Amino acid sequence: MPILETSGLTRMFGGLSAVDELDLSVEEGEIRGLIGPNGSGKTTALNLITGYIKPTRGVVRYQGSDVSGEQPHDLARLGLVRTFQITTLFENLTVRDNVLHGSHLNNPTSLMGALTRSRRYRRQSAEIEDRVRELLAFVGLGERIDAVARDLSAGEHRYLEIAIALAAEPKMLLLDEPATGLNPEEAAYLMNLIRTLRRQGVTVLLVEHNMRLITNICTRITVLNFGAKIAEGTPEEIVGNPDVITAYLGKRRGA
Amino acid sequence: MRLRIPPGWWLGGLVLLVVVLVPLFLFTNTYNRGLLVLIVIYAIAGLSLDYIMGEMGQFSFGHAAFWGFGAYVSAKLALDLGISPWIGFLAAPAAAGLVGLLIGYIALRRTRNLELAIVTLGFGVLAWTVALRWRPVTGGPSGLRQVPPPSLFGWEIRSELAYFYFALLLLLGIVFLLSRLRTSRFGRGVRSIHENEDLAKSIGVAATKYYVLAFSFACALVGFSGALYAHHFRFVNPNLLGLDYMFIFLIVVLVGGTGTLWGPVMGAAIFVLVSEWLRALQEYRFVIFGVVLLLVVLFMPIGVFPALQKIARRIRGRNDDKESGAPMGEHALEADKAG
Repeated sequence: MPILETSGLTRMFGGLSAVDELDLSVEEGEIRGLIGPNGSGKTTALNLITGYIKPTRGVVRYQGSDVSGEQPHDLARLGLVRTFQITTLFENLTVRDNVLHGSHLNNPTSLMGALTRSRRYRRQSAEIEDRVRELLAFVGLGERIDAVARDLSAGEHRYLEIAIALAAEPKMLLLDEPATGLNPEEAAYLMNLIRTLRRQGVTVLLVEHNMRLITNICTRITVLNFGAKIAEGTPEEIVGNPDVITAYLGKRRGA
Repeated sequence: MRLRIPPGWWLGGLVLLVVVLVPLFLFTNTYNRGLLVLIVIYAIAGLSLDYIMGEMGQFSFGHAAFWGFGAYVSAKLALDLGISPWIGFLAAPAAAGLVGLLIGYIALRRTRNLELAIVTLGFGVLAWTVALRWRPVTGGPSGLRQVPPPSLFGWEIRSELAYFYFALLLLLGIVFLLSRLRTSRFGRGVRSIHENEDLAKSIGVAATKYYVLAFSFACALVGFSGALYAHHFRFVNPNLLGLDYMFIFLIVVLVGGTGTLWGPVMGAAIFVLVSEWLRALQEYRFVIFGVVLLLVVLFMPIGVFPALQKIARRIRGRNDDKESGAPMGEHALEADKAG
């Protein structure tokens, strides 16, 4: 059974379908790439899946149950967590607080405990704090824990974004162009992180613009153009697919 | 480590010491001591409005309506049903919180920021009109008089000084509660929505639910302040729900500084004392306050309290603003940004 499945997923903006009858099926443990030229509906598809916008038609199934039209925070509770195309952080807070806020779903402390600072509350808080440190060490921001988020470099922003998402303990992580704005070194580091996540059992849906990056890391790739799926397969199949080449590079004259 | 006192508390404690001792020596007559009570009541109302402004990053223009509503509820219970003010002190925030829940649910499901300000303004004007017109219940324009003071073991807390210390104790309890609420799961949830609502949702914060609850909590708190007012000044009238008080609370928060807890306390003291010095000017006071507010917003946009904190930090030779301790730090940082 696929962990995520969409059938006939459609979103119209005015008379234009931004996503058009999209059937997508992601198996558990995959790193699925979702690619396509600018404006092909990748981000809209991701917004539809994670509940940020409502589908005009079609169904999103997650772990076997219909979750179409559910609220983002309810989906997060089910383990479906996303990041954003434009880096989205709690910019005014420290790196530590960013991930602490991200731990919302795994924060077992009670209101009464917080008000009285009970022993239980202090123990649970220390555990959360430990997990925050672990996560930050994992994404390579261990040294930056006290920095204010907006002072981080572009690469560090992206790593922090992933740490925040991981604090919600996702079963499936949807990343929207995480490599945008990164230099090749940072991008490679990020891709390594994603591979490690997969080994830890997180299924990844990676929206990306950059072909080369995605063919290196994905198990399967789905290609969108004008909101519709035009190809799907292994990276090798996709790279050689004439429709994909046309979509990306345009038609060769006379061909 | 656990005993480390956040920097804000040092300054707060100092202010407090002054606040506790000064009345005994400087505020010697009944009238002046009444001002002290007013400071505390405004401080609680300011803290409540600041919960919406500083923690939620939103704005309610109908906050005075909840204040006046709390005052009416407690006064009405005591006058009509002979219910003890102590029960009133619980019933007023409960009623204000409940109405806040309803208004918040209506307003926050759809609106934020400016739209929310307009929706709450509409509600506030509506509530004021009801208080003015619904004579049989509210007493109309003249309101309700002879509201009884609370009594403790048969002794009525009538004296200004006694009521001041009583209210001050409650104020301290509220500041303490609020400071701990911030680092609670709920407080962090609210904070995360303030910082970035889309991101907060993506990590599982039920944004609208949290905002409605936070709004209701702030309404309950301001309703409590209103009840304190009713049982001390012993009257209520529709003005309590109106824009005059709304602006007073706004001045208290903005002059004191948002998101700092002690800011509104200081703002309340500044407002009451300065407006007392300007009393001879009658209504023109508010012209001066308008100018003062303008100057504060232009030259000290973070408010007086955060500005003092900054200066204190500099004196201690710690120019590193980022090192201001965990729970207070977050907010100080935002204040710095605003400056």
